[in-house]
Amino acid sequence: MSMYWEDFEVGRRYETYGRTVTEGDLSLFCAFVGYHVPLFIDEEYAKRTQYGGRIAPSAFTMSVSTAMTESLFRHTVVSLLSVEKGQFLAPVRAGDTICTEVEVISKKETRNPAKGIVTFRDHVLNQNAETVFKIDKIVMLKRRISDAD
Amino acid sequence: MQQELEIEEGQVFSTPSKTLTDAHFLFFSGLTGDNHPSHYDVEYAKSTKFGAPLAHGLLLSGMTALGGSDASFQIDGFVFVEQGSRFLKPVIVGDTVQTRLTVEKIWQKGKRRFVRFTTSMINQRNEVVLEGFHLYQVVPRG
Repeated sequence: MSMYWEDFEVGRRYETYGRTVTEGDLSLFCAFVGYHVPLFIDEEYAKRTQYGGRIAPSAFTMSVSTAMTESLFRHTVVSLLSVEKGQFLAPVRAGDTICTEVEVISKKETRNPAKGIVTFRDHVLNQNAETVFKIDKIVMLKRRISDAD
Repeated sequence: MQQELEIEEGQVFSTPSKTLTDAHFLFFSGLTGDNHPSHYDVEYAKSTKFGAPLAHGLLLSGMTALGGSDASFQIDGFVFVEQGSRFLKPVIVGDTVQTRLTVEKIWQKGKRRFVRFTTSMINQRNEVVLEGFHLYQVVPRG
């Protein structure tokens, strides 16, 4: 269910769902965006790196994790104003299950009473509860008045 | 005035080395409609001498694409006119393959200019799994 600007509480963490990353996800993603980085597509090469095997591109984790958060504001999002402080903290691989928790960092009114700004911090965790990725997203959301009859 | 070619006989180009996954097989069958069980059905494949689903020959031929190699920025005006492939060893999901394209011959026939490459695909054990050729006609701009 979509939430309006008023509904988000500063300091609270909103959970979303988990998703198991598959080899197919990574092949599709690399083929789609045109990544030919050996670390992402060549298992034999990747085995000999510090990672010990292929890992997901950081942009894959960013894309999937942000999509996980959409149900919170599917019908109330107006625009994404910026992304800040992205940190890739641990590798993601095929077979890992990642989930995203959305923390509300701050809220700001705008001159337009129909819209407000929220700073969200997405925490992306793997199946061992390690944080693999963190990013702040500054989002313009609708306020309740904008959809009032 | 004939366009100066940016490649010469004997030069070798490589495609990115890639580990094949189920998803790559699926793209290929989605595009071509080739969903023969020898490529997808693990149980069926166990009953064959190969033991595992095999990559489509034409998928492997596709992975010899010159434009996918590091020659990509040196082949202005190259028009693909013919190719051939011999499939020497089976390739299965999880194998890592890479293609080398060698400029075999550059020649002129009347007003037409041609470039022929030999292609060679190797797997992670350095076995040659495909050998073939590409023929290009160089078509000047304008």
